Amino acid sequence: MGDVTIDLNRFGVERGRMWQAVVAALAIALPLVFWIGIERALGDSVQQIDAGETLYLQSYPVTGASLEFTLPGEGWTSPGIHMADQRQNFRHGALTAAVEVDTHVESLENLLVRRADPITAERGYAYNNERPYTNAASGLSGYRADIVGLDTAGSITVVGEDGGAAAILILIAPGDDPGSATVDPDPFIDAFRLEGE
Amino acid sequence: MNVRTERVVVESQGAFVRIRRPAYWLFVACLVYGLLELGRVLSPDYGDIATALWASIGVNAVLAYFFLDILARLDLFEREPPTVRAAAMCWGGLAAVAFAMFANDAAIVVLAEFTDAQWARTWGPPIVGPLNEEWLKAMGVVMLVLIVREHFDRSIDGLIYGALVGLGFQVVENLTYAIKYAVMNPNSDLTGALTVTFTRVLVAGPWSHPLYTGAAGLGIAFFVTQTRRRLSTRIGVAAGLYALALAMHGLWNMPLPSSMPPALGIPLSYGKGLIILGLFFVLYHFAARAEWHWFVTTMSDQDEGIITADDLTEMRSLRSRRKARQHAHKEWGKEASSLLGQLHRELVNLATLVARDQRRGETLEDGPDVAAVKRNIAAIRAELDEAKGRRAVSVGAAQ
Repeated sequence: MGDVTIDLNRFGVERGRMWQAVVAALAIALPLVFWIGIERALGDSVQQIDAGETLYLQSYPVTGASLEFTLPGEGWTSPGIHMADQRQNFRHGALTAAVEVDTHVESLENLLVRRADPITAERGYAYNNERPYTNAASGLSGYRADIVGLDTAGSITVVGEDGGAAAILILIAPGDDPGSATVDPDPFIDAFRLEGE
Repeated sequence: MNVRTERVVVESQGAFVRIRRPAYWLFVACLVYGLLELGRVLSPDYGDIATALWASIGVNAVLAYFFLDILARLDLFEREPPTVRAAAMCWGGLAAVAFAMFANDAAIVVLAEFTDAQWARTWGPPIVGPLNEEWLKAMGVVMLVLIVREHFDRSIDGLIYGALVGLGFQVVENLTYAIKYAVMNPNSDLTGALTVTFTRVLVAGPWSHPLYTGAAGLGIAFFVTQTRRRLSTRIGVAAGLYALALAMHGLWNMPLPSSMPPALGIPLSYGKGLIILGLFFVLYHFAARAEWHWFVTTMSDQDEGIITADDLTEMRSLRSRRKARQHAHKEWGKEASSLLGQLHRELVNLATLVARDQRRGETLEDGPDVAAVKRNIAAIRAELDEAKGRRAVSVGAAQ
């Protein structure tokens, strides 16, 4: 059997090998430092939404449905860069709106539950008062529920057709009452044009 | 039938734990970081999608099993220690995936800032995917070199360890996709997770991360093991193979033209995959040929009772070994074929131990593990001769 003698430094690790670990650590950090450094240097991106600007979403990964819509009023922004085809988030003061489109939706009621669950799980909100919803202006119908949190009001609305395309609107307004008009989906869904299956 | 063989394991042989190596602690720290980050990413959805996640884990476990079996067969003349193989997979699945998630997300945002979101969505994957992921996976092979340099004897070791890093990466990346699509699916977690899992396993499975990182690992091992060659050659081969890994990954991530009919999508994807697979097997062919030369040189001092010239020829490749077993089956029956396979495995074990002693400069092969393998070989040969004799007697009696 062969014997090997190793010299240890004051930390109890092999002498003369620390530089290898330091270089390796720098090399591992290189892509993170490079890309995150540039991202931070560029700053947070905020997209200004013009009043009446028409926006488009397309379902993903199956491109079977699309949604064309405008946001009510003016002063809307979209935080970050819009990377997802099927969903976009918007902000107007404290009010946040998330709009999404899906295809081949078997049950609108089930979809409402699936999209509401993460909100209640992650943010500690509850949702209740689920009821049928119809929007006369756009001709779309589906279900709506209220989102309730401590000093927060909100609504989640799913419209479309069972077995076809569906659009989802989630409104959350910190500081508002549950009955507030701020979280009324009507002004948003009035302008929804949902196509596809 | 098989001969009952003995195995002597010398203490700490093959162990990965090297608490005196600073790189070992860096490795451990990166794994812990990866575990925490993946836990953070996965835990918010876990309660809702546990069934879908476990279903995807099941499918990916089958994929991993097949790849591990293939890689074990490709490693013709050595069995890498299980702990080091596990460490390679852990790096790919925990550290590399966790680091790559952050780097990729930031890189896509940077590309979108400089161009637009649509361009970044289309061209981001073939640009930032290879750049970040191949670097982080290759660093796994480098870390193994720093921690257990003694397990990098020849270039093919880098190919095997690189492929294992890639396999770990592929499995965990598949799981992250499964979770993402489970949450995204409008109808069911299970449908979303299994659709993307089966798509990734069946369409991308055979030519994914293990092949790219195998190529990069081959270059790294060539650099550290071929010390008799010129430095410029070693750097050139390592850089060239790393560039090839980037190109293979980039080719796979390349978007198909939007004007192309959807029906051509699957055949074109498989076409890209076959190009990648072909490149990998060209590399493997050269590495395996070098392996055989090493095996012949290492075993050249062994006497005829241990290894014969016929054994050396038969053991050249998986194909020649299979042909030798088929020939034995035809001539002397199933028992002889099985014994021949066992003999080949013991000769591989012996070569590994002899090479270790040669590296240590030991002239006498007096280790208990070497002696045990030689006893195994003698017992198998005796049993093989008996099987051949029994067959000859039974054939003679039949005539």
